[in-house]
Amino acid sequence: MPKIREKLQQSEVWKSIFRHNYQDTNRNRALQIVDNVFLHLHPVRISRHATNIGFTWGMGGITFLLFIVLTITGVILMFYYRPAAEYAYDDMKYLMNDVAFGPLMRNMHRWAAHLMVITVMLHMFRVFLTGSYKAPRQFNWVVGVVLLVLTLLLSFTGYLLPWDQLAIWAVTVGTNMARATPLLGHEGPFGPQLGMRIDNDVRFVLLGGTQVGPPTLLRFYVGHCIFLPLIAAVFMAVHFWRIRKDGGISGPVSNGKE
Amino acid sequence: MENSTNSKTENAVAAPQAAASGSKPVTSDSTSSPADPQQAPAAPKPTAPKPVAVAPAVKKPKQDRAPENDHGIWRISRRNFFSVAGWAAFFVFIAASTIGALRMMFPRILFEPPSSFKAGFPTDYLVGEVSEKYKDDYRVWIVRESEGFYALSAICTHLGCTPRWLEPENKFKCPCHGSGFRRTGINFEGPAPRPLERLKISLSDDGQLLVDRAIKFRYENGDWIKPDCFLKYS
Repeated sequence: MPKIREKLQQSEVWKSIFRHNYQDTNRNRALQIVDNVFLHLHPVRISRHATNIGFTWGMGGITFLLFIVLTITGVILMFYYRPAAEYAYDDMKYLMNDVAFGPLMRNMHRWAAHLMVITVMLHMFRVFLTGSYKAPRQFNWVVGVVLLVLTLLLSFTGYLLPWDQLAIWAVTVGTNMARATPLLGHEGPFGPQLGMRIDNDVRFVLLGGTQVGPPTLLRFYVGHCIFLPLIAAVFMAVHFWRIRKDGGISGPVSNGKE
Repeated sequence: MENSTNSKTENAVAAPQAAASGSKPVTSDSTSSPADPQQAPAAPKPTAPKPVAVAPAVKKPKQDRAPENDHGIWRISRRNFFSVAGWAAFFVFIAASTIGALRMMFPRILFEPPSSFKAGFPTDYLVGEVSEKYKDDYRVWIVRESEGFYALSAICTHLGCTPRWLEPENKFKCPCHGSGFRRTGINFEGPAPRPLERLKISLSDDGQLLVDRAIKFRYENGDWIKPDCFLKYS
């Protein structure tokens, strides 16, 4: 058995995939992180305070974990959900009643979505309390605000997809506020002066019509499943990258120690 | 090659460069022409073979290449022109694509109910009735009074939900946030800021009621006294 293992680990296939072994040296440990596409998001070495959960709450990381959970469960839900007005509600009912593990997946998606909004808020709260928005992290704060908005938009677009009365009227109410958008809404300040009507303003683009209907469902579906996650992924990449570039995760002001 | 030496300048460049770039001061020790009093180099040593140039010196033109900063009659060079043209084409393409993509988000055809519809004959309605017959399809109540008809838009003026007609309480009640309206459409409870809108109602050629939802009458604008807002019928 050890011989087989030896042979396997000496094979070209193995060595082409795994560049580093388990030698417990600083250099090898660093290389393992750096040379792994998934782990290289982590810094090779961190300061002692970065492991202090009491300071960071780990809320950013938990938010990212929830995003991954949402991506996986969302893709699974997409196998059963058709974003057309004729099918959407029935597919949701089918998922909840007859699909094996359907309720589990849908509820995981639902709860992770609720939690993600909460953890984003808590993350923002922590960053505010610790002053981590200050130089040199101002830009990353702005990126984070964009991510907050994207999270809320993802939440809002996902709300319509069950296509029940609650969803339709919630989105009706939500998008009616877009009527009052300055300049771009037909009931907003300077909107009518700029030629905004109910059939050419920003709400019309969001809904794909003058009222919440089948085009709205499709638009929100594409936005929820493709467009917004892609944008969020780009902003998350910048967000994580900037943490490293701005001097790592923020910590307490050091009093000459460390 | 900012610091070309004086001797080189004299030998290779002096004659063509002086004609080509009039703005550049020609720093040469031998030809102290009166044409360059703009910036005299601070006492250049005449005998030094490689002095450190203190003034922006003339660039030596290479073979097959026009002297730099010599644009002739053109403000921009040919190379520059193609660079600018290329970038311009790129950004025009991006802008046109963006505009096209944005325009695509505005549908030309809406698969929505038409704005005007026929609502049956006036004799179909009982005096004092608030008819919900056309509420599902068109979001309109048709109210029959003793003097005639008016059409109320079933869109809550708070945030756009569909209120319900409560016959025993003689009021419209919105299930979303609790706005209440009298049968005239006047708001009296809840968060709705203004009365329900009335719609244009008339008689069509065949004697049916004709409601046009695109033409709205707002109480707060004083529209309810307008003739199209109320169909006299007895």
